[in-house]
Amino acid sequence: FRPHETKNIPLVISTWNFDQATKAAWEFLTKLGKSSVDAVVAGCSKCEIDRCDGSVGEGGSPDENGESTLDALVMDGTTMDVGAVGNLRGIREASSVARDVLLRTEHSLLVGSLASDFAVKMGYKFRNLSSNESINMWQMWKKNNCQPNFWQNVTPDSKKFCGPYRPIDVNH
Amino acid sequence: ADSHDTITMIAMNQLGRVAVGCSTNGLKHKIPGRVGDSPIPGSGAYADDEVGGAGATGNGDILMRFLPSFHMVELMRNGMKPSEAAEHVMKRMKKHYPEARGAVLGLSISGEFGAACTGYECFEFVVRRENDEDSVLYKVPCI
Repeated sequence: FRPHETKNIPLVISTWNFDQATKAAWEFLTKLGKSSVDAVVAGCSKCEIDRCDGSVGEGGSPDENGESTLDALVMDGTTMDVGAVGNLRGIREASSVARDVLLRTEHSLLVGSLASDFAVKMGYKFRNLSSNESINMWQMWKKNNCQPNFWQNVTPDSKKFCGPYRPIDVNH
Repeated sequence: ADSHDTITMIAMNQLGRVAVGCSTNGLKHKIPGRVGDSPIPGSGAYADDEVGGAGATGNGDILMRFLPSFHMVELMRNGMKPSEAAEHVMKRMKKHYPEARGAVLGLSISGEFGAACTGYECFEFVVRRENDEDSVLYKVPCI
């Protein structure tokens, strides 16, 4: 592949209409010496800061305990190197931590509280990721008998009641 | 309106190097400990300089069972155009989970891009290129 064969680069493409994120990535991409990895991390980080549509970053999508946890990934198509975090707790900068997994470890995926420990070692600050909005959303959910939820084959009936749930016998 | 559940981004620089990234706070009211498709290579996103990049969004619990981003890159590797490959990937999921929501988008190293979706009314994505003044919003109707 020879770059001059493509007239369309550099190029950024992104899901949904999160324009500021695209702009942030574009600025990195057109800056000399910045990699494509830097660009996607800058773009996704912008959405974490803006809390794009409440679906990215802190203060959204509370889990059943009311906590917001984050998932992020970055992949370098040149080296096929990957850095990712799953269920990251208490750290706002999920994409940036994913890049640290890529850059500073030989692993691909770190998860949960231990991924937070890694992030803190890399210099990130541990904080509560809840917002008034996410706390309110969680309280409304509790009031609504924990509907909707993602349980099945448990008792009490998860389509009607809150947990804690216990497994029930099913034919599978 | 449709909920926008994740950001997934593909970038190709002046040297033709491709990177992908995604970030999300997951599903509302998920069971504590649940991890979606976003941090799974080949599911949330995938990149290969020889081919291009792809990314997905939607119901991660279902999507990750099909590795849509890896699948899309492999179809492009075999010569399919991004839009055609995206549709193929979404049809595979829809066959098994007709109600599931998902979208996949891809970019080839020749600068072609495309997307497809299922379960939403339509899917929006944004493209920023050198010769455009600003980013351009694209909308595709779902299959």
